[in-house]
Amino acid sequence: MYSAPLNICFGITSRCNLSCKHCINRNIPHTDPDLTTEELFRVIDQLGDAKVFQVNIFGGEPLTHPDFFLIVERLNKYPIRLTLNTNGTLIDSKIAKRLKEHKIRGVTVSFDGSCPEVMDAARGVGTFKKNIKGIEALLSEGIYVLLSATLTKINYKDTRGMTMLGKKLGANLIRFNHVFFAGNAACFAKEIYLSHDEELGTIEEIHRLNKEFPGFIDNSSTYLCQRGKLEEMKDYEPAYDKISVPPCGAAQDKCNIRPDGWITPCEIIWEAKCGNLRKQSFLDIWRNSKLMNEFRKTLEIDLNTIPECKGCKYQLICFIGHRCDPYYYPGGIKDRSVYCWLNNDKKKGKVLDVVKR
Amino acid sequence: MSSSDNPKVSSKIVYREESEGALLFDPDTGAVKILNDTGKFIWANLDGKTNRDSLVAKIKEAFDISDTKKVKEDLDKFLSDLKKLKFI
Repeated sequence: MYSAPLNICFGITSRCNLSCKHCINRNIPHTDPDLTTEELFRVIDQLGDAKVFQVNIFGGEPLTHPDFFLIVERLNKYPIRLTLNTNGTLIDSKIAKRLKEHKIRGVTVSFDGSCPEVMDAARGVGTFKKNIKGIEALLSEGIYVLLSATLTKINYKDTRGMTMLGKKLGANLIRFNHVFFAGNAACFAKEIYLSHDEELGTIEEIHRLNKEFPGFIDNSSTYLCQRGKLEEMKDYEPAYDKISVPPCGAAQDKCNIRPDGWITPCEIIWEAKCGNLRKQSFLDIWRNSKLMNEFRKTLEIDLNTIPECKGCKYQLICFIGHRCDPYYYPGGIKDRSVYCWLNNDKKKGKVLDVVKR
Repeated sequence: MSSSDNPKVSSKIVYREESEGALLFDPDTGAVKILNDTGKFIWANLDGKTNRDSLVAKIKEAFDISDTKKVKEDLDKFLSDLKKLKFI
């Protein structure tokens, strides 16, 4: 275990000017009031003292925080590399310039469609125009821009359009990710979750785009990772009794700070509360939280508890990956992935019925 | 790396001690380098006053190594990696 995380997602506000159906951090149950600016300052000082390397400023929409630049200035007191996660709609040339001046090294901008018809359906009327304006402003300041698309029934047919528009704008990278099942995304799962055939077609399309636009599609895109695993699967010998699942980056080199002070092992798993910064120090939670330490262990999963997975050739996809995939399933991190490939749509139906809401 | 060079750590690099070894981090580029105990020892001696030959002598003494050629080769590779990353 590292003495402190290398990277942190730091949710500074739960407020957002949009309400997207696929959002994982909107409508989180059992939340507390957001940390005040003074409390955020105290957290930042702890991160600085612990020599955390990178902080990704997260939300909600971080730019809705009235003290956003004061918070960044506090972070600037320490040698921390800063990135920002935003929907881009509140960024104009003045804000982009200030972000550059405040040493924001990279910005991940939500990007869910190549035209108003698609993006506005995913994120709300008028979003497309503001989003593109924001991206252009960031790029004109020379800030590194990663476009981040979450693929749902609304936009999965638009991946080519999004890639081409991203290229045309001059963005540095584009990422295509699955829906995860926290917050709003869990509430709207049945509306937005792709069918197995849609999922398969999308994996192949992203693979094609990756060949066509080399270096432009982010390798960490969940769709590219799944394509890679489908390739690896050819040489995989499935297990029948038990399966060892190594830890992922969650609680290993990173963790997530929610706007209400709760720490979770990663930014996808918003409900796995490891401790609250109002009651404990940052390093105490990082080093001593029982749940955080659970995430660091290799899991030995008894396949007798999940008999349908015995000998399944898709084990490599379901089990050997990120802990967030099974987290939303009833058995939690010791369960199989939400993205079960066996029996395809039949299983998908089950997922949508049992996914935690 | 010439024997007359006195390598010095870049002031912007963050050094973080871990239970085993240490980590170096450049906040400008995001580059990270993992150091083992020998790396930690060398890093601590990159003070701008110690040249390559003195570093070799210090490493041999601290880690009780007799093979000068091997130490020189390993040190050159380590310093070259640090230079590429602009850590020194």
